[in-house]
Amino acid sequence: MLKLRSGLLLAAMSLSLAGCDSYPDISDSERNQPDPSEASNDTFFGADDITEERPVLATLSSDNTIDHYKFTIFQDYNGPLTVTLSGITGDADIELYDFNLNLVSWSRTADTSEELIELWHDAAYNSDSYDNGQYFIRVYTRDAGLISDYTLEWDFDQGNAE
Amino acid sequence: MKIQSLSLASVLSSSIVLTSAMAYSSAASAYEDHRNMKFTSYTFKHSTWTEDQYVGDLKEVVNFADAVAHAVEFRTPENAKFKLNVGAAVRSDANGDTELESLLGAVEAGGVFIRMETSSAPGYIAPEEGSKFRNKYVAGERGFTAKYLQVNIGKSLDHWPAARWGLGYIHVQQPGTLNMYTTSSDGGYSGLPNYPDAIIDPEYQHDLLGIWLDVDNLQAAMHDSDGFMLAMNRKGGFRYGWGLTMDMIFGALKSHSSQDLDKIVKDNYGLDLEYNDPFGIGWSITYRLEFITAYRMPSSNFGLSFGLEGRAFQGFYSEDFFGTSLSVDDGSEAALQLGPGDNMVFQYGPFVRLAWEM
Repeated sequence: MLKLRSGLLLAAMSLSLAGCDSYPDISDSERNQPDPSEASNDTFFGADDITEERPVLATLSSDNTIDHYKFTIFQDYNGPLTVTLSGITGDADIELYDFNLNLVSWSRTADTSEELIELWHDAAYNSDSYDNGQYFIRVYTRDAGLISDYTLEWDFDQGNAE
Repeated sequence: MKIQSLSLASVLSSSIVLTSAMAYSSAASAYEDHRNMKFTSYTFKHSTWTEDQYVGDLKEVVNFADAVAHAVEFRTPENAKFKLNVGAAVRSDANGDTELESLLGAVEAGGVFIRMETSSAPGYIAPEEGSKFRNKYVAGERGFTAKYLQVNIGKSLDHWPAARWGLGYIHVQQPGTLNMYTTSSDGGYSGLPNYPDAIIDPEYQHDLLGIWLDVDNLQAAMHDSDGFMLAMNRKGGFRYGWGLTMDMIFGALKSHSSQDLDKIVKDNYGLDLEYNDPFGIGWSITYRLEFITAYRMPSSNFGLSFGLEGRAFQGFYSEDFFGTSLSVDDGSEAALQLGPGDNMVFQYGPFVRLAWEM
């Protein structure tokens, strides 16, 4: 079956017209890297930095139903990572994303209960392709009419590091 | 009487000669006319939806629960003014879950045949290693529903009742890989999300519209009708031999994403997207390579076949032939392009089919 697939693909390639580039043209830029536009923290790209030492105090409202934050674990250690959303005055939830923006974990408790994410940070994935020790947090509410204060903090327990 | 299966041409010509002779002898025999008989079949097979059908990046991340399927089909007599053909398959997976995998319905009235087949299965996208994806972003939910819908409108061939032709439409929903291009794709840089090599859409969509032809060899062999690449031996009431049952559609193919790709690329990476829904030519070949045994009785016919069945749904997009108009002109842009070859359907698996006409 694999031979059949390969054969069909080779046939397709042989049919391609010579001189036609089927891949997008990439122009060189001075910095040779993407040069994105500015964005608010409503997007992953505009995520605000959050440190382990200084929690974030912010508010969700009808004009701002979603916030993004980012932090990095620089040490090459494994250990438990916790993200906490407390002081909630409305129903807000949190989600944790990895370096590639894929959802890693979440807490979606109803009402004003505290939201807690606990997971094991594995330094084996600290590379540019997997993780790089970087995480993104999404704080959001599904109720557009809600106003909710919140306190967001994260902790990496190096005491249990290996 | 024995026919050697040497080539498509020889088998086709031989089967025509054989079945012409059989039709003549059948007319003079004591066999009841099969066109007055109802046809029923039961098929036990491996589920059509498996991760084995994927290649490239998708093969590493797409998952379905291993499953078997039980399919039942019923056809009213060919002589009926209103002909009905219904079928269903139930899938039992390794997790102990049982659910409907496919439905088949067809009617024929006034010489026009309308057939619809649906199939679906739940699947999920999982990291290729550990808990992290490597340079891939999965857009939307990782759990997905793979779907296949085929609609045929046409008629039987006058001198080949086991064959039908007409117009065919196929809609497929399944994971697709979109390769991502930026001015530099060598990972991200400090403080920003990674620029992945590929964005995976778990429910990418394909639509194919074209000419359709299908042939059912088992039913043909059971009453000595013509088949497609059907080489049968006869010994008294027994029939046995190899056959290749086919269902083919060839036509125009268009594909599109189920996701808001512009918003994803802007919100995640701060870049403006260059992307065009791809279109081109495509085809679907559903095949059943089977060893057929059949037994004819005066007022009933029985058949048993086993072999390999599957489906190849492929296409070539205009970009493969004429090049793409996509470009990344500066650092503020990104381009997404469907990865050809990795995004088609290749289903295959063993089956056993039991059928009877009476």
